[in-house]
Amino acid sequence: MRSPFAYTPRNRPLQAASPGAAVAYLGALLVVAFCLIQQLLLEVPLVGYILKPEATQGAVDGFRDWLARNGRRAGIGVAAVLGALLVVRGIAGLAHAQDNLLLAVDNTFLTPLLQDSLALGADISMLSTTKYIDGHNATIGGSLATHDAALTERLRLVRKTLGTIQAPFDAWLTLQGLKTLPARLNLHCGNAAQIAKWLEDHPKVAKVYYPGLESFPQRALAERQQKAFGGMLAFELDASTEDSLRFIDALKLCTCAESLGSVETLITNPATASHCDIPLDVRARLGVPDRLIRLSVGLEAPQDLIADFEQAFSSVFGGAR
Amino acid sequence: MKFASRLVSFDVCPQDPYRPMTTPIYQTATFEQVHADSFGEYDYSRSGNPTRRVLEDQVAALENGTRGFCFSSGMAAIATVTHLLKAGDEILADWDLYGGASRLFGKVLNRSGITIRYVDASDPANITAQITTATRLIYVESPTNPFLRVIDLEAVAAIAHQHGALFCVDNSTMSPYLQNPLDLGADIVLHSATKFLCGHSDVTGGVIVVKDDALANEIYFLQNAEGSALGPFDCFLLLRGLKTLKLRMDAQQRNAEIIAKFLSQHPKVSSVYYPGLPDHPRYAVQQRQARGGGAVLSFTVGSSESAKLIAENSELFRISVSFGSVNSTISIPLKMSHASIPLELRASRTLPEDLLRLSVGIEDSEDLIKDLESRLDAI
Repeated sequence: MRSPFAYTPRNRPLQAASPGAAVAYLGALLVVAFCLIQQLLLEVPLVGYILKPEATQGAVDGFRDWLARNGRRAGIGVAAVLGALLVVRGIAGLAHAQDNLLLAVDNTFLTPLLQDSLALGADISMLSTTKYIDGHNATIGGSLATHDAALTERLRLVRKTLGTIQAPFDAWLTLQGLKTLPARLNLHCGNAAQIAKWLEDHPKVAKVYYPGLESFPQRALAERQQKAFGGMLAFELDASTEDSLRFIDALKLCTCAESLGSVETLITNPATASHCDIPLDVRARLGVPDRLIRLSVGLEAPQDLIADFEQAFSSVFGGAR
Repeated sequence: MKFASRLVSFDVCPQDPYRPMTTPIYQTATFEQVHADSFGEYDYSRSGNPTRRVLEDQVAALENGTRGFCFSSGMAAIATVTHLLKAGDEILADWDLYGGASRLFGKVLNRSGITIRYVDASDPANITAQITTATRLIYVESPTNPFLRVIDLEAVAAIAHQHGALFCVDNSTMSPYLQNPLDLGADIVLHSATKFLCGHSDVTGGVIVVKDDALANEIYFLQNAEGSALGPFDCFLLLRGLKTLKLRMDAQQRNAEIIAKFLSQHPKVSSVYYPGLPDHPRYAVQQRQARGGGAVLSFTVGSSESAKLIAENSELFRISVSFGSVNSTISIPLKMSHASIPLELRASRTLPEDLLRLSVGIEDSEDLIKDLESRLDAI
């Protein structure tokens, strides 16, 4: 894979980071982006469809059927689901085969540096800038980018009308953080690859979800669609949910906090944190096991992170590996 | 405690061991948790932030409400209130609204199947006549912008509640110092915090205050779900500006009264709209429900050319949208703050092209009068 880090965005980083994009906007928040899309573009009540994560081709087929049933009353928002990648180009093709249908991709996990969603066919690329773009856990923010000038104008008008803007100070902090994005991502990816491999070899770990592992079912897709494998991974311990939670509590270097993409390693239990608002049946369809642990790998030395995992394994499960 | 004391005597930093005199800026997106499956008071700044919380509690206290919420702009606050509604619901609003609110009501909410009808709410009988079973929200500003019409808030609240509708008042032109709509029966009071609450033109923000717990929970749900909350740095600036609200407003209102009197006696001025003048048609209502006429007023000067000349040549009144700052500002509502009113509504609203709006600042009143006098002499 060609290194995506050779390129350093300079004067207009967000625009440069998404080459050729007509415009990149900072709005108040990612969630607002969904709201904008709903109110502005669809002009119909928002209908949700969750792409099944387990089988990519099945997901696309299911989605095609669903589109056929719902026709033009649909817009597509694609969010990253841990443990599965979605074929952006394939979904874009389906979207654009319908009139008046747009594809929006939540590109937060990878950023435009690692996946150019717009080049893959998405109409809108969405980022929670709170994550890798800021990278320092200093701001809350979101952005939308598109190649389409008419769409840009509509987004601009709706943002103005809803008043969901980002304050100048937070925009400035985000810009400061953005300058080190390529360097940070490089380290995030390298560290995540090491940690993923180490976890996979650990006897108390039942399963590791990281697109860079040979065992990851969609590794070929990741290589084709992404420029690197990213800094996010998830894993299941060979243990109960209760012990998995005790394991998280025992970690000292990894911080238990919501959010991701920051310089510090953050660890969460999605079932009780980021995904707790998702109804149980939907969570089951998404394939989020209760014991799943999500890790946003930071910029600490990987040896220190591994030492932290080792002491947590010892303290929860005893000394023997 | 009196209002002046409440502005500066509150807990600026609950539980802080160092007892700072101002609220620290918690510029953080997330908060470390002790346990993986149970959370502390704060977990993520979209859901809650200590700096924002101090501001939200303070504005709630100043408006005599129980819960306050701060947003990234006044429009984000207004949009949040409208998200309490669902398809098929109807908003009944006074016709003299800020242009941005008209645009939201007329051009965005219609996509969600929410209808908007406008009435002249300065006569509450018009509301009684127009309210239907679909009316879920009655929405007014008082005094209105830019005509400074006064709505009898107690009367409208009674009608709203008789019909099971929510009553929301945009209190931006008055501030909680001069008027407390919740005490007059409103369910929701909102502000463009950009205006008098901030007072220094350095923050864009919005505020909602309510007194009902169930309503507060709904607003909180929307603030968290939509991610429209105000950032910590801007909350700090607002907390700072808010402390001088009474000082500023006293000075600005005093200046506005002097200017309104001067303008109403000037031969080149055809009409003056200011609820602090005894000949204002609802002067008595304003006297009853507020503590003065405020610091925003408007007047007409006969032609759009004259209006343009006055605005462009005045020295102390700077041309800008917005109001409520320590600096005096001047604007032509038709072309500025109200240009976003949908065309079909603008025809029925008949905003005069020679209407000038002043937001009076804290400068010396003699300087302000001298400036206006020479501008009027020149036309």
